[in-house]
Amino acid sequence: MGPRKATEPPTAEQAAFLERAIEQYGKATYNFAYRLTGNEADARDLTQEAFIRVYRAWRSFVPGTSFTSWIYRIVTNLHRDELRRRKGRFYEEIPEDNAPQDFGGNKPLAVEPIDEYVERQLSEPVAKALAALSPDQRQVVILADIEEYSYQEIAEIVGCSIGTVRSRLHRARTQLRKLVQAYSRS
Amino acid sequence: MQHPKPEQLTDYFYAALAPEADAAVHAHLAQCASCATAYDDEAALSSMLRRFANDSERELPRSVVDGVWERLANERPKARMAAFLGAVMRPFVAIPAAIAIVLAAVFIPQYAAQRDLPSIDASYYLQDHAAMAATVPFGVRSSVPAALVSNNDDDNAPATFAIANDEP
Ligand SMILES: [Zn+2]
Repeated sequence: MGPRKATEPPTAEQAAFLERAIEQYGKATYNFAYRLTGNEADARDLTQEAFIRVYRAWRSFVPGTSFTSWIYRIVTNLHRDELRRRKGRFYEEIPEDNAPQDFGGNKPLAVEPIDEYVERQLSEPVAKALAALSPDQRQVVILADIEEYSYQEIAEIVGCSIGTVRSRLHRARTQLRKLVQAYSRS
Repeated sequence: MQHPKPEQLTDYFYAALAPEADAAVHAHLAQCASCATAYDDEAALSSMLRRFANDSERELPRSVVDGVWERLANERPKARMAAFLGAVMRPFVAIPAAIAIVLAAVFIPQYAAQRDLPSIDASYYLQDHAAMAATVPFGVRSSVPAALVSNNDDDNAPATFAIANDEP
């Protein structure tokens, strides 16, 4: 099965593929995009663009492999491109494992056991804490904890080594603990 | 063993340790209260994230689905026209066609005049030559130039795109 030419006219088969992909994976993809971007407008754009890519590249999907991994990889790449585009010429590198984007100051935060606040109303502090992570950290946390992928699978989706997944995840979790606690108090 | 490092506990939580290391941490947790507490904290962080995900789950907005189909519908005619023009403008098609038209325009009226044949509308030949030059390279008359259609057999094969149901 060779790749199709981009100029080839669409077929009913291709449209049916897209239709089923949206039906089965649209919601999960949208939620993934929403957690990555933290807002609905960007999540809508990202999801729409991802399914356009799925449609164009439908022949390159290998039957029997995980469609979710494939589309999450597309979403991840689109999100990365979008962040680069927005940063324009000031872009050098998406903050890797450095300080979170939004959370000011270097002062260490007191650590209390998570059990003590896990029962409280958490949506807002967790949302804020996730938003304050660097994009790369947020990606791995979402993929590891919410989507429950293995390090190997995350490495394939994000396009990095397993070692990088591991170190990003450790730092992200350390940051998250501090951030959730800080936002829960405020 | 020594107390595992926090990174090892995280890896243990994600089942990402090698079997021997995994077994060692497992045995250690059974007998070390402080490490067991740290491990519970790892688990609590993850369950907090999952709960947040469940609580904040959203439906796919209809506008996203409509937007996808709308965009595809808008770009389809353009893509077809570009493909067609791309094929027609290729030198191996366009040059013979142009030569045929010029030759026909020059020689057919002369030939007709010399032989003093009954007058035949030259435009008939012009059209015929141009049409032959344009269609022969494609082989078949169709709205889609044959040169553009992949001749892979599997294009006609039954659908093999079943999406695995693989909710993680
Ligand atoms: Zn210990």
